[in-house]
Amino acid sequence: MNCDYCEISRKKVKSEIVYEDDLIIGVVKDMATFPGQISLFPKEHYTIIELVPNPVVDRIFQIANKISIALFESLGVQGTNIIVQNGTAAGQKVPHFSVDVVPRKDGDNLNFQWKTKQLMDDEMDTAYLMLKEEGDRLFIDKEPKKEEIKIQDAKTEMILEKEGKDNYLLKQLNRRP
Amino acid sequence: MPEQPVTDEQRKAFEEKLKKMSPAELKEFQKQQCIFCQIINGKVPSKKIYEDDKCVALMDINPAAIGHVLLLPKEHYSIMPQIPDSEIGRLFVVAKHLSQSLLRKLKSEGTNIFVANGLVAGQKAQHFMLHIIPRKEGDEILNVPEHLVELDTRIKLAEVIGNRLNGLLNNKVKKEEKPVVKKVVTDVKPILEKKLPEIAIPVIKEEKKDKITPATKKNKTKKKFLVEDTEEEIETKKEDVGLDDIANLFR
Repeated sequence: MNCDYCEISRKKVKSEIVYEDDLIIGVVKDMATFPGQISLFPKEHYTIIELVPNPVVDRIFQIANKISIALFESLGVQGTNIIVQNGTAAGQKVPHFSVDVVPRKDGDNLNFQWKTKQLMDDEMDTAYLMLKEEGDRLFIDKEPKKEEIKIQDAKTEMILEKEGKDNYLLKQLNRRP
Repeated sequence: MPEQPVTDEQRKAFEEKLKKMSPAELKEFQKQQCIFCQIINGKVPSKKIYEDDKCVALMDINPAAIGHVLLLPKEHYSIMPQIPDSEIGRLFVVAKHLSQSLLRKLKSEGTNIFVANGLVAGQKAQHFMLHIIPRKEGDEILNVPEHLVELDTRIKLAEVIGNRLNGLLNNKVKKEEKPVVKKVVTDVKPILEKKLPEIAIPVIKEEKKDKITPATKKNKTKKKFLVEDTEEEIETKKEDVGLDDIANLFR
């Protein structure tokens, strides 16, 4: 299998690297909507964002933000776009998940706008209900783990505080007057 | 009609007020004017599909396609650079899951995650947001032609952007990086032996300058070839550690 981005991250192809760490790599794109467009992608081969582990997603977008700031400051642009193309229907050209950071200038004639699609109320409602169902499930998946940790911490802290106050803090306060 | 002169005066007073405002006050003012902050508060009705302590996802009322979702941080930020690192990561992890539900539930053929930073980039509201747009073949959304960027330009761009990026990342890491630099120097001891105290210190200084001002880097690379092998070894090792360190911070 031949993947252009895998070739880049294995250094089999020459590329202009802007950022690199153990997990991700960022290069200046050769085919770009605007010169200075950066592609940032994981070294590991994932085709779409859904397959990328959360810690990698987390880091890649933090770096994307830093790259966006670097574009503002080094090229003097007035804006940036951050774009993920997920699937060929969404304009993805290389079957390897990537985040594109595009520098934007006044009058660059790039049209990243879209026409508002006129929807029937019921179309909107069915989409809303379906997505809400998924969204609610998302919420349930996330929360329990965090709460467990918090409760444990809170208990130990409470005990320490109480003991501490009884032994030292309260006595010291009482002594002063 | 009698209201007009009053509004003019009000406008002048208002403009003066704006000039006097501190950045914090301006942010507060922007927040009060922001429709998305009111949507998040629930003062303006919306179709929310997801909410947690940091962010809200809702259906876009001017969608590019059925199922176009907006993801907003609850805190009012106008552009991405203002957002703390921890929140950015979280936002996009949520975006990933929302994209997944678009693919699964609406059976869309693909999705775009799109961010516009600044007016020229197409940002319309003053509240930072992510667009998650379901896509179909041939729907002509976000279809922007690409052109070849010449190799020379690419090399120059990589240098300029890369230097700035290194500066940004190193500034933040500096405090925690210091002990690491010391460690590396001690690791190199056996190679340098007696010369260590004389050489090691200037090397650190040069390296720091190198990171801060991009202009010195050119001179430095020229120097590299003249300098002895041992010094080169130090440099390469140190850069490796630096990068790993940055990576660890983001873990």
